[in-house]
Amino acid sequence: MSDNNFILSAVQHLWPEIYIVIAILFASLWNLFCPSHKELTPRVCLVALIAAFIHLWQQFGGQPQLLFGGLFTLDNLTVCFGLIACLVGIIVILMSIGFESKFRSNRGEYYTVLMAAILSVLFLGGTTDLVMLFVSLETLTICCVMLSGFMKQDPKSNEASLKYLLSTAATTATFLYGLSFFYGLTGQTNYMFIHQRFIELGLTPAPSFVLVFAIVLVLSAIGFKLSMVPFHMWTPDVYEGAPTPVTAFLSVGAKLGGFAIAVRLLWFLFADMAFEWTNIIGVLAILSMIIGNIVALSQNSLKRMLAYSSIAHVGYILIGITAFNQFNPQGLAAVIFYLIIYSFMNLGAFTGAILIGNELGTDNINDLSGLIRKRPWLTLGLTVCLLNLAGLPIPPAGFFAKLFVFWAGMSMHSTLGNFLVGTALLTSVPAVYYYSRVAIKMIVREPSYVVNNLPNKRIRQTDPQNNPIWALTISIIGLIIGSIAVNQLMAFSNSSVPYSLAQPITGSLNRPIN
Amino acid sequence: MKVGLDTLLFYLFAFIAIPFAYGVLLDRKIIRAGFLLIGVFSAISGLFLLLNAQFLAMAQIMIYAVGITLVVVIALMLTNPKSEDDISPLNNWNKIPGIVSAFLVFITIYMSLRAENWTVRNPGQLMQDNITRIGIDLLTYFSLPFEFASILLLVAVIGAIMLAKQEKEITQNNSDENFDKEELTSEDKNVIKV
Repeated sequence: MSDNNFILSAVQHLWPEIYIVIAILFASLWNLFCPSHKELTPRVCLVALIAAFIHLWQQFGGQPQLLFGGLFTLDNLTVCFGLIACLVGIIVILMSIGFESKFRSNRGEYYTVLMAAILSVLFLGGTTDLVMLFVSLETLTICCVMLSGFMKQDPKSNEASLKYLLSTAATTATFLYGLSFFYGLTGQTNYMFIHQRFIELGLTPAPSFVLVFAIVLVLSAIGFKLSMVPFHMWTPDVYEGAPTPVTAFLSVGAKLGGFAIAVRLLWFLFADMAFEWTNIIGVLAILSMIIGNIVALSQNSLKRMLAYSSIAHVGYILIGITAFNQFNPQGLAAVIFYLIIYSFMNLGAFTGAILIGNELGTDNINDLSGLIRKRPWLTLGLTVCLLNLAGLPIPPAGFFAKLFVFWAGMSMHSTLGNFLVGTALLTSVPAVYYYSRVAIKMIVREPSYVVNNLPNKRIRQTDPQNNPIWALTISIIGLIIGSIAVNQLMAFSNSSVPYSLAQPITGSLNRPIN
Repeated sequence: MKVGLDTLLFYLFAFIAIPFAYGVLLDRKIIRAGFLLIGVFSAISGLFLLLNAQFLAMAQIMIYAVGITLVVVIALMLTNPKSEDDISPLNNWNKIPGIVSAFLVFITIYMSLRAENWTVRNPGQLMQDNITRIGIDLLTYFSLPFEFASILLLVAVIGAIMLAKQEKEITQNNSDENFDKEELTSEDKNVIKV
């Protein structure tokens, strides 16, 4: 540890994160000193996210590097998660501009906390150290708790925040307890050194009882973050009570972080013990698909329906995680492809919910009938997103995403794989029903009372309530690009997969083993 | 077998910590539970001291035993909760699943811990100046999480102030009409009309 230049050289790779930190500091102070120019805060955040996106884009394809002596790994997977996080951030901020009036005097704080949450997703993508993992996961969680309580006058929002806080505190304790066993067994916090010690101690590929116990504890925490089924009880209430842009972020951004942990932790540390946990994950995936889809059937609130269906989507994505191994890198590529497309379609659907909520003051599905006569573009955009979520090929991005994941599941050539894909296909049927029900109501049915009372033209001024339209447009453009450039996007996902799994990447590991 | 002083001290601290922890769980007066918590944390810091982790022991006392517990106790004094009467005790039938699952969890943890060959290091081998070592590590290898934790704290403070500060009550005719409308789905409205 004689020269500390490695910190300086590592910081040079962290410009995307630094841009976001600057935006956090700006957002936390600007509204205090210049309350008359509030609208600047989200714009600066957007600029920072776009700058981070461009910088990350340039980093893509570079050699994998270990920063801070292996604490943070900068490879294509990190960059890929960062790119998706920035995109999600851009869309969420655009939709928040049309929603922020409900936060009253807390707008600046909202953007501060939101940007911190995005930053922690960026860090989660690349962390290869237990300490960094825990700090960034805690940042993400605490930010999400605060974000879901931002509508202070709304008792539902308060309830969501409190429920999330209590259940997440229990999960964090479980997670930390599991991590402490890894440290206790190996005396290391770095993934690569832990893996090395596992081999030295003969714990891999045949883990001892403690290790299995610790893996189960960690899996349950990951399951909570991803709201897999036995750990999903908090999801509907939190998603319904939280402000809609926050719900959109929770359903995409926070899950992105969860998947980043799952991929890094499961595939760096436990790749050789895959047989221990793939079955657990597989069963959880099947449960998530069944329960998420069936409960979503009976929901009348658009937001709650999207919340339950996001549980089901986690189930689909987990097929890819289960299928992924050294011989079958398609699995992770399919997961990344699905995550990209899912971000667009789910954020688009939530944007539609915000726009409808702003104008109609309701998100009850029955009130949406006949919306196409008054708001044709909004209806079409929302319909495209919903049909893609259902996996129908209009345009085919959502269809391809599902196809790749199912293909990865089939290529496992195992009973579990076939069972997973079978369940996914079966549960897609109710999904098609409840998504297209909304679309059909909006397009075919006679206008409801609320829709009839709408003015014929949207008030076109510089009304911030119109800003979510841009978020919807970006989502639709993303879906169309995803449909046209499937091959390129799949190639991008493929090149994000780190092939040297579970092998210490050659690089400078500055930390001595004591 | 000769029993060393540190072994005796270990049992002493454990003997203090465990009944106090039960007290925290079982005491119906929440303020007394708060004070019992100080005892638990102090005993645990004693355990850290036995392991030659002086820094952790001090941090445990300063942050947990003093800082956090004090905040808890002061918060309780300020809010003056009358909650002890409101909590209806679970009847014995409802306690059984809890006791069974707690017992199962205990068995699992105990078995898994005993089955493992832990590589035990002699505390004497540890560096004597472990505070220096922690400082060096925090500012070199762990510098990124160390700095990131400051962002976490900044955001947490901002969020805590946001949640705690008092705001004007909503009146029906200000700009938050949308907010109230969104609360009620049309079904709810019908119910209210009826």
